[in-house]
Amino acid sequence: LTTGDDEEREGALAALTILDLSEGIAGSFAAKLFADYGARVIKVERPVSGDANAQASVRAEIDEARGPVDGDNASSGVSSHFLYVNTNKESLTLDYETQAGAMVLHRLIEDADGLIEDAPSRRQAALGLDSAALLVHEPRLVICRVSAFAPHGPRAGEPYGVLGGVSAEYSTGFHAFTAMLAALWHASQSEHGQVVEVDGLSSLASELGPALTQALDGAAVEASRPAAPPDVTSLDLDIVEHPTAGAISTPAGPFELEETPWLAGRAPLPGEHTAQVLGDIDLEAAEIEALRREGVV
Amino acid sequence: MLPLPFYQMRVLDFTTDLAGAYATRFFADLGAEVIKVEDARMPDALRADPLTFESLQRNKLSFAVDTATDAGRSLCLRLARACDFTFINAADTRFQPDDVTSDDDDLILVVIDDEGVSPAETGVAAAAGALTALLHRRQTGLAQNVSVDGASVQGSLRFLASDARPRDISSLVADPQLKQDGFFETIARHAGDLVTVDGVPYRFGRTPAHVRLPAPRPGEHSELVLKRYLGLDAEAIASLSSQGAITAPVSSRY
Repeated sequence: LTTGDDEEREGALAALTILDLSEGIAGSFAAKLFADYGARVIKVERPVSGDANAQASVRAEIDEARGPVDGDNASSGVSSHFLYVNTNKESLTLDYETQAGAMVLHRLIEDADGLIEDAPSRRQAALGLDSAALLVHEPRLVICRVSAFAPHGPRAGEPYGVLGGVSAEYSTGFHAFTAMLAALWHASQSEHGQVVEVDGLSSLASELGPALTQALDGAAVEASRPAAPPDVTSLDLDIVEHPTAGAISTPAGPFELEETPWLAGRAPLPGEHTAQVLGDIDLEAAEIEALRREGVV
Repeated sequence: MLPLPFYQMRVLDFTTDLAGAYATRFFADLGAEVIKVEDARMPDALRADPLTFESLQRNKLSFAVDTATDAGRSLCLRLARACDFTFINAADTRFQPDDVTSDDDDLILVVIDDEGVSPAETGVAAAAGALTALLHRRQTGLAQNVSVDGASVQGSLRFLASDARPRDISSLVADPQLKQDGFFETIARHAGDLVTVDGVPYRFGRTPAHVRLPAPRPGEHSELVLKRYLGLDAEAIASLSSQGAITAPVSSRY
């Protein structure tokens, strides 16, 4: 049994720090893979004052649009998807759409290698958080923007539905993880970060590249059959203990490294690491308390 | 403009399956020099379908070698040492982790065991695994091998998501968003005709990537690879060629 608590980071990506601003499955899954292979991933969640039910409903947001999944964790108010795509992350509740919150995010970005978010972004240019401004201050930063359809095209804003629903969200997140690794490698070699946009439509088209090439050449090509779902009973599962959701089973990562383990772990409670994360960027206890009073964290 | 993300990266590619082709295409598209090892003993099954080959093997170089010869096998090992990492299929008898010596502890071998039901996703996993090992080696100096199999990839991706539906190819080909994006790219094949293939799916803001080279002819780059990677001169290359260890440029075949 792995508790997920107090584990030293010993995975292959332990040198990286990633800020996860995403709220959907795709971006969250990309960030999870970084965390499961050892990176420090700080999940930035919206603070919800007071009412615990409201907080639970925000965290269950991922599922609400999709109807019920398995009922295992229904009583805890936390969705299965949420628990799966946020393993090994630290949770910081922060409203970075305020002046004070934006300053905290700036401090976090100074120490980060990458940032993952869904499109459209909630980073406000007026608060100095637009990508151009961030790259001026942090030239090595890699910003990965994940969407179903690229933000500038005629289908921008459409959901993942026609691309294959939830499974397309996971696929897109997987592509985002890989593309972001490429940009992080480039940044480590060149000292240049950049914005990387990954969208579900292009990722799917890339997976179907040979069939599309045939069709463009005039061949009659049938609809492609997506991969059959795995037989979960045949998977080698780890069991992790979550404080409110109980025992949760989780499969291993998509690839295996000979020397550095994949890390089983659990999703954080909302704001579980707020004090620690803010302490790490040298905020005084009084400053943290002030941010709390204002509802920023 | 900045060089591509994998500028100066060298990848040796023994794979002959779809998953391997997808994995190394990721590196080739983003600027790595990917050397496809082609061998009559283990022909690339994808050559049987020229359009699939064009889509998946563009931007790569071809090195044709006969691994039945000692000289050919020795060249493969020397090339692996000259590359950042090497992709192999688990069933490939030409090159396996056992073939490297204890002096080779800085090599990264990426072994694709079974491409599974979604070769493209298995390929993406192999690419991600290679990059993870590469970043780790850069940080710590320690190299390690990576193994990927289709079942684990699907287990990770589809654990809570089994709702995939059939994808309509003709609507994707006509998709207005892909059109506006310039997603599809047209290149001149070696045969002289033009072919339109799927492009690079990710938009890198400062290092945009494109289809630069058509899929290679067998052995098209044998000479270049031996010169550039192993520093062999024309005489040595001619000797290897006359022994049959390598197949140098094959323009006469076309």
